[in-house]
Amino acid sequence: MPLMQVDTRQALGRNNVAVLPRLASREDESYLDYVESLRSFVLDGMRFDQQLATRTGHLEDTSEPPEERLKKVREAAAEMPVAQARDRLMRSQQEMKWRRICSSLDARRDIHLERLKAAEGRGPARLELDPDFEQPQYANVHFHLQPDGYYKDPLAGFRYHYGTKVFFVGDNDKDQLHASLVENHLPLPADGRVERILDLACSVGQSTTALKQRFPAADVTGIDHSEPMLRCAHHRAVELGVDVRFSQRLVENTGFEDNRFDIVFSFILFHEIPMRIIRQTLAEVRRVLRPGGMFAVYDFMMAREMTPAQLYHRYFDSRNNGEPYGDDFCYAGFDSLLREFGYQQAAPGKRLGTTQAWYATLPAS
Amino acid sequence: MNNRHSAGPSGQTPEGGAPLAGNNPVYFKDPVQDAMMNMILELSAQLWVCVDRLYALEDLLARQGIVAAASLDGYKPDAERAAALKIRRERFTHDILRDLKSLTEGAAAATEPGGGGAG
Repeated sequence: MPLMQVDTRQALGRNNVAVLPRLASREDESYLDYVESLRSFVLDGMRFDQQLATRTGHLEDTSEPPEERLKKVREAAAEMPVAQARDRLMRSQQEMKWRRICSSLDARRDIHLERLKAAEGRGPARLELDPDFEQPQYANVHFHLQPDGYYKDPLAGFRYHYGTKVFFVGDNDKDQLHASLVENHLPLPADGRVERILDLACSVGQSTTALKQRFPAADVTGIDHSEPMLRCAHHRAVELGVDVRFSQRLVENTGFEDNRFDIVFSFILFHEIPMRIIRQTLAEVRRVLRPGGMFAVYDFMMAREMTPAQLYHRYFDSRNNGEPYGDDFCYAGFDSLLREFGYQQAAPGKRLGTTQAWYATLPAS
Repeated sequence: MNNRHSAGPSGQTPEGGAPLAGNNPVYFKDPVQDAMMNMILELSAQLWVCVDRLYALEDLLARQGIVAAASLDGYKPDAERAAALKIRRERFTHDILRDLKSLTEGAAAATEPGGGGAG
């Protein structure tokens, strides 16, 4: 099953143009094309779902608690050479990817830094950085094995952008996954009013600009803790000529006034923050989302719905691909967390590949 | 999985998170197998880069009528070009064999040859 399964035809028809950083040489691009193919091969060609399901006695039956199923899955996988080979290849393709992306960007570091500097102060996109911003301890992780993580290297945004291009194995080269998510999988608030939108943890702003393109009259703000990500997002939006605002803020403490937003959009954020911050963020969104507004969350599917192979991959990925909080999220039961914080279902959730969409709203007080 | 774990960047344990595999995790019973697999993957990648470049080059040369495919077989580099190729070859070798180096005692102090270029 693909990581995110959406119909991108309509979004591609919008002729959106991604602003991927150019690498230093065709050699580097060829190398990363190969890594992309290697990743495709591992994802599609090294599946052992049936073998694992047969050995554990589980295929579609997900009635047993996921923690119990995971124990059996890990025991079975420990005896399967294919599991070890897949682990090795998954890890290796990530390491190869980052080595080449970083060395290639570093070879033209001055040029990339100059591009970011040249975008400063240019519109129509706006950039707000907080000179007193303190990075939270929980964010000090090399997510997805990205060297130096999200905020320590000035080129972290460019690294991330090219890294995710390879991650999505060609399906997001023109940001079409982000565009499709926003175009086809984002329901409106019941009253249809969309004046202000918040994109939580926007990284390089791919969904932020897609939101503005769908809602041209709305005020769209993307927030993130990482200055390099925000600088890259701003540069990208300037190049695209999209009028959005990027602001350095914490998702759990945004500083916006109560009831400000009609839509709060969250794409693959919650599995990258610890449970304490998940809870604070749900409380913060409850404060800044207006009654009747739409809280759209797209993230990892829940463990209880995973097949044996998916449980195995989640366990591997959390530990070997820099996703330390992934298990917390997947085993938590996000539906019950939403209910605990007073959210109601605004529309039935959707499965998009192994990504799950939740649509929540707040009742009028 | 037979992988070693470390606390993550800067030796800090992420808040309440799963233990993260450190550098050079081992997945096979014998770490040499891990190194062998990485060598094969690196070799495959380098070979693809080469195939891709050759394809583009020969296509351009032939379409512009500069070099016939057959004349490539007679090519011999001069001293300067041979030296440049040697540097690239050493870098190529290092990239493919890097994982064997990680098994040696001097792994931490090992430096990469050929400068920090992107090739």
